[in-house]
Amino acid sequence: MKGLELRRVVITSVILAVFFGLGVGFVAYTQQKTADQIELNRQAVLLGQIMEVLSGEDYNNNPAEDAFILPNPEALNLGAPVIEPAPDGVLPDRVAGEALDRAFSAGQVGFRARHDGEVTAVAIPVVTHRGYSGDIRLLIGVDTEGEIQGVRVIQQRETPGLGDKIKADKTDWILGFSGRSLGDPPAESWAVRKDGGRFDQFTGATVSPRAVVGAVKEALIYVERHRPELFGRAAEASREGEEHE
Amino acid sequence: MSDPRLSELALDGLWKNNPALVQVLGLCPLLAISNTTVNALGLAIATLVTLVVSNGVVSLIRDWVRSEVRLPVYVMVIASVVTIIELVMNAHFHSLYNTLGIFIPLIVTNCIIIARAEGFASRHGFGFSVFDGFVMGAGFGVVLIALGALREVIGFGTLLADAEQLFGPVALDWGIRVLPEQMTFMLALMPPGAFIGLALLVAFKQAIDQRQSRRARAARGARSGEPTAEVAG
Repeated sequence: MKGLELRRVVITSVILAVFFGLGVGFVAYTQQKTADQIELNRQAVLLGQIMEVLSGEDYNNNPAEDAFILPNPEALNLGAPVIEPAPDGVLPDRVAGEALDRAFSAGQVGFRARHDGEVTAVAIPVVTHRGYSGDIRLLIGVDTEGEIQGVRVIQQRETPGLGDKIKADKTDWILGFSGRSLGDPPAESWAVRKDGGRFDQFTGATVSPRAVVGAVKEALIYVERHRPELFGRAAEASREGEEHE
Repeated sequence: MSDPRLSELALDGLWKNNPALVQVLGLCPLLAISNTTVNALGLAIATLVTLVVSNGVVSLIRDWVRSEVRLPVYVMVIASVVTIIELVMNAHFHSLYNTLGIFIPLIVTNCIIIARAEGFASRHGFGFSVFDGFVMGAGFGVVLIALGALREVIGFGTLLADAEQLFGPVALDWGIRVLPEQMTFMLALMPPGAFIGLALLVAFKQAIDQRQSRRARAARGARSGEPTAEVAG
């Protein structure tokens, strides 16, 4: 009787194990077959978003493949840095491999547009917690002059029909940032009209545009503070030149 | 167990025992994803394929699976099928995959699927099980699509917008505007709109059923010569 029961348990376990093995096998096979296509899709979506925010810029590299780890990601509300700067304060720049992967999955990378190797603009993410319903994630393209090339909403859950007008496929509102910079309009006018600023809000929805305007402004301030890290030596040289003038 | 009739199975899945309207199963994806026709269609197809494949597999292995371990095995079958569908969608319908997001993996938790695996496929042959999965999936899908169309028309004023996410470039101008934008009613797009829409569909089905049974009773009453008692409500 006892032997019979043991036999039963063993057979049942073996059956269970066989089915689990088969299940895992099929999933692993599909995963392997689709991995390349999924990676291509991800790259295409990313490149599409980057190209939209760098529309006015002249570049001849593939910015999606020119990712760099953002210094001080907290300033962009991207969370605590997953990559610590080296003791001398230098962030591992264009590192490939694991460090970049980790920064990538944490959303703490920016992308560089280059013309013949010279950085002409960067596309950086910025998050705001002041949306009407959850975080709004933006991608913003800024050139070496600090001028906005484009802003796009990457992620949002604003009210359909009201707050979601911040999306480029709903209205042209977000295109109004192109060509703006920290001095244009002046800092105190970087707000929606209701708050005395220069940017329109929507009828029935002030919170979402207010959050976006605030986030774009924060991103511009960030770019100003981190010019050398973002644009590399070229920007530093041009800034030094300005100072001498 | 004796084999059921296919016509009965079909009537069951699509109407009499409709998963969404009568069994009221799988409400989470039903209510969350039914804000546009195309989203609803995408999830409807994914659910239908999952039901057909999981029913088929469960039916094929039903003689080898002992009753003590049948639930873990069924859950594993369903989870594998859904993961495979998710990977394939991610590779070939990427923008739709992004729209449906978390609701594809959540098909695993849709109780219709385990209910049909346990309640039907584990006791019937392959053909019947696949057919049952198909009609149950279709019954769920039709309600999902109807609710999606209803909410999209009222909320956005359009029908089949963004169809290219599902059908590719040929569908770029399938979307039509039914109502002018000033006439749209945003409530339909929000969660309350989903509940109200589903309630309307359930009520609609009930109304049809009651009318039919009243008529059947009236016919019986006329034959036997007795007055028919009307049921209120």
